[in-house]
Amino acid sequence: MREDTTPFLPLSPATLHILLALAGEDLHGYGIMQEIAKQSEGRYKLGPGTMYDNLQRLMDQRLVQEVGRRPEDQDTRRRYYRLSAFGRTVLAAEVTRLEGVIRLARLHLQGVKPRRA
Amino acid sequence: MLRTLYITLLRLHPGRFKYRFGDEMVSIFDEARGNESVAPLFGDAFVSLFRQWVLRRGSPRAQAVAATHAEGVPLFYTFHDGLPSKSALMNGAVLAVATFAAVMFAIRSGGTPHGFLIGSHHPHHSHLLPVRPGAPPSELNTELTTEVSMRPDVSILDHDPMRPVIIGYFRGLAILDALDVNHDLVISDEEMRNAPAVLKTFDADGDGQVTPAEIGSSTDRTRPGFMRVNPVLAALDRDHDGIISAEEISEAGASLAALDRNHDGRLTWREVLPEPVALEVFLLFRLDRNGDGVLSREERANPFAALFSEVFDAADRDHDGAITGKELVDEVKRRADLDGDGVVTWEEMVAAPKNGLLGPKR
Repeated sequence: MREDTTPFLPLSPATLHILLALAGEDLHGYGIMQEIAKQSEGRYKLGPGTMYDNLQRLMDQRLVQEVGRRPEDQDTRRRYYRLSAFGRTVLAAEVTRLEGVIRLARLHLQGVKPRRA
Repeated sequence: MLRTLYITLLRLHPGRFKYRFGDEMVSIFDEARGNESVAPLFGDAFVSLFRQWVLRRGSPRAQAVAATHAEGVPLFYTFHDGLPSKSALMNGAVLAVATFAAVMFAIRSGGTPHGFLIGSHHPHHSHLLPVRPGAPPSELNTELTTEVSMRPDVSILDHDPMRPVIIGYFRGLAILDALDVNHDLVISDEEMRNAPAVLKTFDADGDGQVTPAEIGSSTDRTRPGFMRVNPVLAALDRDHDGIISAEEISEAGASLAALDRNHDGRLTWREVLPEPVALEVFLLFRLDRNGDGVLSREERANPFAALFSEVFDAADRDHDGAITGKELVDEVKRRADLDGDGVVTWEEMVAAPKNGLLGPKR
């Protein structure tokens, strides 16, 4: 049975950025923070307290999984996080929603009223 | 001292939060301290303290984590997990405010985690002094006093579409951000001469050289081509062995001066930003998770890659499902070269949304 993504949308900016950061690969906390800064060209930065607060909520909602430590990682304090299959579904739903918003915004900016059904 | 203060703030968090994330947050502090200012971490910690005690009361309990001890890291599970009394909360709030003030005073007074003092709060003078604690005066380099413009380069206007790209690149590349002492998006002659001292602050393990692991994001720094695609890094790494050696550090000023194509004594964004197609392809190849130099269908099966699906589909000219670096370079050039002159400028690249290079085509 396909899980309903509607209750999760729209995603908050912090949640969207965290899920986008994890979409490419598993990351530890600092890696998530750096990836978000990179993707947003330095315009959006998360502190660790804010990030872990969001991560806890995302893990409770089963959008993100913790995958533990990596043996090759010299810093044993690091834990890695992974976007779950359901989290990927929610993120895709949000991207689709944003695409619709962008299309609507462009139509309005061009002065063309969207056709109503 | 700053690390101890940060750990103290973490200890003030509720048990469920500090047990679960305390070690990781200290790890982030240790890593960030080597790369950037820690002041934002303290601000975040104070906000987190308020959030966890006031807004998250009654939240689902975090999963219990087996207490493991990393050498030198405090164990958080020894504290009682429960809401303190009101008097304790009030005392904690007073202590938090006092600690915050003390931390801000320590940072503003020139706390020197790297034994290095750059710049001053005087609006018209910059004092560049490499300082080793306890060093005799004879070891100090000549003090440089110069007029420093505190305004961003006037050629980058607020409405300039290149502005976010330039700011993002200058702030995103740690070494460039550190070289740009006054954050005016220009590397001045004085800042170039100070480059050796700046580079030494990146030598986290003290071995006299700077490796990719000591700079760059965790995503990019271990990838082949990271040093080459960034002109500043490529210039500093004169022998292109992927490491900025001690000798190359000492020659950093001259290496950077070689980037000054118009010989105006400073490096502007046109001289330090990478070639736009190379950078675009380098960033898209973050999707190459197995590092085989090819973007497979599996590696492109994610929401981020979906934003560029049109570009990827068009790049796969032989329709084998695998996109090579050359195929992607050719496709990006084809879309970005708006005037068809064979050269892709940054002005053409920022117009790329029209060509689908930054998402769905307009």
